[in-house]
Amino acid sequence: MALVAPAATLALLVSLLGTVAPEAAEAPRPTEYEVKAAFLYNFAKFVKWPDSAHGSPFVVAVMGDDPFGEILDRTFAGKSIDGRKIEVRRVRTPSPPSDAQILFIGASEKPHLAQILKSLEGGSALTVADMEGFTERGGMIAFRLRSEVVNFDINLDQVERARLKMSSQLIRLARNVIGKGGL
Amino acid sequence: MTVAGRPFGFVGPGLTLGLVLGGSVLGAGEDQRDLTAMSLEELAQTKVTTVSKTEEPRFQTPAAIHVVTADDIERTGITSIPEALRLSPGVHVARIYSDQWAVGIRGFTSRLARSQLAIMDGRTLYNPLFAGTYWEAQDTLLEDVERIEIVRGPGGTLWGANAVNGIVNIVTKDTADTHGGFVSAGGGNEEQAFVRARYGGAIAGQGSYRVYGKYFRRDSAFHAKTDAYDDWHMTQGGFRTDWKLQGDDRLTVQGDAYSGRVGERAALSFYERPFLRTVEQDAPLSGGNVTARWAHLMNGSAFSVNTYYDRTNREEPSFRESRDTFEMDVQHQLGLGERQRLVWGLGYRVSDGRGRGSETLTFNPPDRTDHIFSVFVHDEVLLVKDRLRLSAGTKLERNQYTGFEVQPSARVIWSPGPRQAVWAAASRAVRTPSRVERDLALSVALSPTLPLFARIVGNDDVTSEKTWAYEAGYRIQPASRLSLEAAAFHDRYGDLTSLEQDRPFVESGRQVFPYRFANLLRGHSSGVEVTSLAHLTNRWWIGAEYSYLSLHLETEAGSTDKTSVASSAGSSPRHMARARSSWSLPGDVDVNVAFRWIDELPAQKVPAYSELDGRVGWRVVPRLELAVVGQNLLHAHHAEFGGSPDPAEIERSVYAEARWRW
Repeated sequence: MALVAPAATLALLVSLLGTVAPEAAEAPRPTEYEVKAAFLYNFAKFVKWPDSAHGSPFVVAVMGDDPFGEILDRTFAGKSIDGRKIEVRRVRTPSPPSDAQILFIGASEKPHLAQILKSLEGGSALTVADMEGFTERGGMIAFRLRSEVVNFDINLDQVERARLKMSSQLIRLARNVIGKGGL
Repeated sequence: MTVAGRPFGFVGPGLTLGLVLGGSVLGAGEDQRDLTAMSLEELAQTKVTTVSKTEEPRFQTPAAIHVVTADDIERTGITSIPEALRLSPGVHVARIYSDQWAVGIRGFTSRLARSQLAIMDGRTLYNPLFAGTYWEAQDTLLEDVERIEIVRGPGGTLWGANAVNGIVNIVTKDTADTHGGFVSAGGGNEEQAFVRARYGGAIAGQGSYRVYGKYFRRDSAFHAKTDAYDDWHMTQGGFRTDWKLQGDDRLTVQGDAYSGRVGERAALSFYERPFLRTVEQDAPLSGGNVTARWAHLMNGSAFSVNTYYDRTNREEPSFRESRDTFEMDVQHQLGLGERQRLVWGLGYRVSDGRGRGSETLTFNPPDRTDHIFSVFVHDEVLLVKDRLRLSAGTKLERNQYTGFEVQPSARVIWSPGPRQAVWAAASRAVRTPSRVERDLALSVALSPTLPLFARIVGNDDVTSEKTWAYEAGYRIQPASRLSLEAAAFHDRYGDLTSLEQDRPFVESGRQVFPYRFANLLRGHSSGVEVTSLAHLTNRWWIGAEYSYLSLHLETEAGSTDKTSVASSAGSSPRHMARARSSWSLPGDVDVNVAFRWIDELPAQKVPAYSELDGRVGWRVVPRLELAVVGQNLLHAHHAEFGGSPDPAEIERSVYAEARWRW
């Protein structure tokens, strides 16, 4: 009996190696910002903007320091949202663009965050950021990296205030949801 | 002493030091796979390589470390911390009764797990009276646990005395990660009824908070010969607040309080007839604690202060104790140039226990206050960038039983490539005597009708148990979805506690057979632990592990101890094997299955056994999840450990749970 267990375990290990290695070798892990960029694309798909915000093209803007680089362009290349072309834009101005559907606020803008969010009031931009406490300070979606997995918090009150309709599929994936709206 | 600041956002020094210079080792994925084609759910489960943050610390830690994650706990439906320790390779967890566990890491499994140090959020769970951890009294809301780090092997250099064979470091989530509320309730045949609730939120831009409460009632285990007495219930509540102060300073204040009753059966000895009486009664357990932790980050260095107060009350049939512990630790990490990192710290702990026994169980002196002072220094040098890292350090600790204790260690880790690492370590660790070995006088009646007594007495000459441990390990990630790990160890033990038989004598008409604690046991152990983990698809992963232990003990010349060798060596399994499979099925259904095979324990008269646990969870709507959990499914009941005065067997358990979150 004593020898059975190690032999069985070894067999299991060997079978694991044999069956898994080929598939796994083809699938290295993506980087954090590749996944975050893919999430931005999904946000575009799973959020409905009010009609007033409609107008070509669909603008994804990055404010301040851009952690994505060309990943963002590559992610949105050749894609469209509801038949609208996607335009990726970087802005360095102190005030956010008024026509962006998705606005990613870079970490460099943290000191002016309150000001930026205030100037967006009344508009319908989905605000997204990496920074800690973003949703608590009035942002809509804050990315988090936990245990090698990217997930996010949502401030539903802010989403609703901007008259955005967020799919429940997206909301239920959130790690923390602030606000009683939705669902 | 524990060093529990979160200097760089990581918690314990075990990980922190491994991390400090570890940096990122895994290169960015080069493939041009289209992530936008993945479903939202797949994306939310995709593991990423992290270029800027050191989120893969385990891989670069020069120690045998396993991390039980919040996801592991949720998917397995585990309801207590000792059960969660089963998820780590090389850890032997045996449930003795419904309300008692024995835990061993690399051998020496015992009810009080005396050569392992357990810590929760910087607070030591080790009780210095009987030397060990009463796991039934150590709990928190498991949904709030971020991770449980289990280090096999010594950690005395950083963590201090008694971290001889392992460290269990329980870390709860930052309150920023637990906004919102949840309520969970359920029940079954063994987990008869439970309810758990938590609510958390932000404190106006300055931080966040949470409060929780829980209650459970558990059925007794199976008893072939006696009444079932070990049913129990506990109620616990607590809070945590995390504050962002000016600059990058952070302050955490948290606390817990608990109260419950655990069913016990005890054979009590008396000097009047009948000399031996068996009682069954509930033992009230209660306690509370409050911890404050302040971390200050400066340019390239981090300073933290961790302090707590802890109170425990136990009222067992034979003995009662109230204990107050206060501890303060200061830790400073600083970079010396680009390739060197120095960590040093100071600690002080005072622990005051007030006990009351009986005429046959006394402590002399009855009360004693322990003071422990410690200082440690640990230096880490990156010899070759991304390739070779060397660390060395020592802890110097003073206790009033054995004076100064030195616990040095040296570790090296070499990464021949980004997905491989080889490490080796040599360390010395000690287990300091507890009050039992110094102050106890316990008389055990050998017969109800005849005045025959065995008497175990403490001995002021008992010194520390000493261990030199030599370890090596290898980790490889041959593909991003597959990781393999092996660790081997050879530990040499000296001055282990023995129980020496002295000359019998007659006292007030009683025949007394005296035993005295001494340090006349020595030995060595060797073993290996092999782990594999494979993500077969994004929705399915499997893991398998195997642990081997060979423990040899012997008595020194002049020893009259005839039982300790067999009882220590025969209480830990030589072989353990486990396998786990976890699926995330479409329709928001999670399935988890875990199998374990544990070798026999001759000293406990427990045969080898296999068991199977499983959980099926279904998220009906985003806010409601239903789950059915089965534990120990293969047998109606099975023994995992011997028990005193009579053994029990752990029964098959099935429970259902509903969880609502908002």
